[in-house]
Amino acid sequence: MREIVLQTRNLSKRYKHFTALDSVDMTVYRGDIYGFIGRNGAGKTTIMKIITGLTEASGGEFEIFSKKGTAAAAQKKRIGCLIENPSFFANLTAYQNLKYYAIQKGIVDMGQIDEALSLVQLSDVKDKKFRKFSLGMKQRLGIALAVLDNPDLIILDEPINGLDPLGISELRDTFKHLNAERGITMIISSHILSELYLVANRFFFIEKGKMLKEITREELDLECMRCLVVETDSAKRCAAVLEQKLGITNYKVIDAGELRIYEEHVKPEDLNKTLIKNDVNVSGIFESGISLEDYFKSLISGEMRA
Amino acid sequence: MMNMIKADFYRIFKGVNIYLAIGIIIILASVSVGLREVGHIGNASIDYQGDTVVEIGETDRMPHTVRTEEQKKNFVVEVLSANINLYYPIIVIVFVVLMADFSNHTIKNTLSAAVSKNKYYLSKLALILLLSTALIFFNSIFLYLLNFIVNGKAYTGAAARVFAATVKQLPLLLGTASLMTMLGFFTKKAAAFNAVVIPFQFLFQLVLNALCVITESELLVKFLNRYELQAALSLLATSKDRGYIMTCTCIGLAEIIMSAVIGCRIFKRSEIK
Repeated sequence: MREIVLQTRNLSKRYKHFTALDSVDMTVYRGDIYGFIGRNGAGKTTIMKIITGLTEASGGEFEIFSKKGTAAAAQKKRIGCLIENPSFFANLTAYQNLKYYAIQKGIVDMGQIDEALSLVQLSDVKDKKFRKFSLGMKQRLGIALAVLDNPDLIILDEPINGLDPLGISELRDTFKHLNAERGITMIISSHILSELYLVANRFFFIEKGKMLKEITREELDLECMRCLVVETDSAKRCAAVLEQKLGITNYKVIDAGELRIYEEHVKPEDLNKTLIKNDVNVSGIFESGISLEDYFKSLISGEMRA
Repeated sequence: MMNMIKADFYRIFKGVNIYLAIGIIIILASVSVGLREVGHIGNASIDYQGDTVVEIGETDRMPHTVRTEEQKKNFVVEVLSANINLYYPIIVIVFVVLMADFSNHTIKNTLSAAVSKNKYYLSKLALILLLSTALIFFNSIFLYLLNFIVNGKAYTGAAARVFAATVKQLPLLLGTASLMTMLGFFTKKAAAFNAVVIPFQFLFQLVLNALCVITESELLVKFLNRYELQAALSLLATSKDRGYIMTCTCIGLAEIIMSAVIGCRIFKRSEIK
């Protein structure tokens, strides 16, 4: 069984007349790159702020590295994070800023500063003052701070904001490297699903403070993949016919009355004939499959209708 | 907590603002020593005789050429009686240690990964008190040495008297630094902090003066003349009244403890943006 790094139960945050977070349940396992997806103001940053202690929850609880309450606060040393915009002392250089935090975290080996700067390709400008940095450089310095003392969990809030396409691509590689080589679990938020899709293995959709869906990458692929949807009175019997009569194995039973076929070149009319011949009642066969952005939109519109 | 203090030391001395506080002290001391005059500011510096404004303070009332030998020897302690001037360098210290963290939004980096809000508050307060103490003693030592070099033995009394005057004033000045720290955590914005703290001392005096006139309360007059910060620092420099010194020390310590407790509670509930 996979080790749980972070788990929330009914996590809520209310302000006077506004609910920023409404009973959110989520689970992050060790080794995950966990993508937080939601529009601006959906509640992504609020969750991150609660986890990192920048604000307190109004209700619910969370467990981090199997610790709750005050014991969870002590686990903050195992977290590296970048919440909202990267903030540093404007009058200090990149190196001085990281050295400040290295001393603060009790890091003895100052070589880790150079290592972190090198990881985000800022070694050449380490003696440049933070106030002279571009937005992209600031973001990268924020990430360097997050990885400075080899944390077990990294929380990054909209880390690709302000980066150019090449910068985004380099950062993606950095995330994958940190995850694969150092085994760092990551929570990354973004409102750009297509970007998160390229790095994350699990996704959490949130809208207006409410959890919409928690899904693995494989499940997301299946949900979005082009397929033939078969609506029938018995998905079980339908599946048996598909395998035995048509040799189709790449399908998924969604529920008792729905089944999806992911194999290409299956003709709906042939499929219909075969199913009816084998006493499977078919109420509908149609093509489905949507883009990631459309999938996200459909989740949101579902929430809006609800 | 020690790591936080060490890190702040590193940061503060990489910047220029701390040298501003030291610079203010050097300029004030140099002017006083050069002119052989006590440099009062604010309420305690003036008094009225009819329509005429006259300066108060024993030494101020006479030109330095007609002072007695004893008055000349007491010159540095007289200058220390105007230590309300340290109010502004202390603002700079609070700003450099604390407000820089708020104005650069770097506080969230520290709170999200390194320390709890209570530890953060206490380490900032400890550093502010430490630097304020260092600055207060630097002021006395620099003044004493500069005066000795410039004005010679005739104007230089025993170092122990200067040390005693500084120690007597210390609790009230540190109490003020602690109150400023609380206000810093309360306002959380550099501009708001400056807007509150810079005129605070004078507004406080103004309100007290107005209340004295309106209510004609003897208690208020006594408080204004003896326990209001500027008056107390002035009296403490030369006072030998143990009861008064003890009361002022207790007031200073109470300010530190109460503002720390209130400040911690306010900060713990506050949202970090």
